[in-house]
Amino acid sequence: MVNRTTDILSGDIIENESSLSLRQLCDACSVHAEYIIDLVNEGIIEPSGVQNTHWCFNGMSIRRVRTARRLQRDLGINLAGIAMVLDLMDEMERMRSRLSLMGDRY
Amino acid sequence: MEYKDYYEIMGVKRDATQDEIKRAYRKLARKYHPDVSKEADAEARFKEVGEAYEVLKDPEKRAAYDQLGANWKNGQDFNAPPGWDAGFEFGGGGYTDGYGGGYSSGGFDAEDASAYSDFFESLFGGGFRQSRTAGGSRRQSGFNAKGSDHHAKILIDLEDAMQGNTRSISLRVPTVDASGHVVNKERVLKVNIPRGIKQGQTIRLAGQGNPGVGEGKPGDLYLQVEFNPHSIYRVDGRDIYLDLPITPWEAALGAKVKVPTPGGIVDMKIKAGSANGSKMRLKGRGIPAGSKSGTAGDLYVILQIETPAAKTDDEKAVYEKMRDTFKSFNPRAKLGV
Repeated sequence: MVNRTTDILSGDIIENESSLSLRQLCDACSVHAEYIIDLVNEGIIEPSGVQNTHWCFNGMSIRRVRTARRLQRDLGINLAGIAMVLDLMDEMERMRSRLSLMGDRY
Repeated sequence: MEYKDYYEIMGVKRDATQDEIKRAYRKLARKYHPDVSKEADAEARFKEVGEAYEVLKDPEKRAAYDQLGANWKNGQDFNAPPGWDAGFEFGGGGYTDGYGGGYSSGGFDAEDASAYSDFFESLFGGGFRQSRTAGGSRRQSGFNAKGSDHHAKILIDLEDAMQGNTRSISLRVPTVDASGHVVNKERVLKVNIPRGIKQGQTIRLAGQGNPGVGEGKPGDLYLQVEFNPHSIYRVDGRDIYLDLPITPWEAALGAKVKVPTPGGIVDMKIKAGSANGSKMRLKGRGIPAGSKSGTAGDLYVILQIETPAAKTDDEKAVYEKMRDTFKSFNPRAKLGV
């Protein structure tokens, strides 16, 4: 069954948004607020604003939360482990992109 | 449909203990987890391993699966013999509630709904669907909920980010039909790729996710942008890198050369005495700014000196003259020879 839509859809780039509230982040990641608060306490995502009622997350947080949730669900990693895995993955990503910038020469 | 050898997939013997199976699963799940692994077929392998574990970790399912016999080969054409599952009842026993490897706590995840193979569905589909229908029946009693979000990747070319473009993307959306069965519906969307988008950014299309329940609004569609590798350019954020081959005399004497950029060919001056590997910046010639307040990327040109082969006597004479002229030049001085 094929459902075709011919309208051209335009969206927002979420990384450009720096103003996701706790509620919006929960919705975007389909998780409870308690889970986000745990991730913030572990330093896995860093909101601006002091109290959690005024927390502001940037768009990048969505991917971090979703990756964290998958790692926990699929591999049974605890929050401290997830924080470390995510940091190492960032580091690997940086190294991979540096490598690819060097091209095939090395 | 193809027979799946779950023992082979997990790399364990048919008489492996539950502990051995669990250890094998943990190891393979780490190896092929799509967030961590960079192997090309990581996602497919991860699902396969998850499915194998779903069966082998559950003594009931494992016993039923074993009953099919040990003579089947992975990939062999297979049809479940009639009445093969007599005496087994799936969906009970507390083993089957876990979805996607048994660690699931958040219930049904739309992305994983198509995770199981036809083979799995034909064997264990019954109990699985029952639980799904139970969830669906709430629909009739006036239950409303926002639809779940859908996440997918979209591959674009550098040129799309330079100028902006429209791309078609085909999504497989698991849908529960009237009889409670899960079917994959194909959905084709045309999506505007905004000029200035960067690798790894995510486009959110509000209301294009999975339909809501009752009067609930549909979820959103999130598209993570990935660039196809380009034949000559490399991309880092909004900056673009290009290896530009030049001749030794262009490097030594300076020259004006033509440089391809994604926005068209430009002239670039090479300074006299440029070294191999020097990086020259063409400001603002990278990917354009994504918003009014942003800045465009730059194009970095990396000089690659190429030496011509000396074939004719004339050409050899030039190299001989260089040898005699550059007597004091020792590229191996740092190596102490």
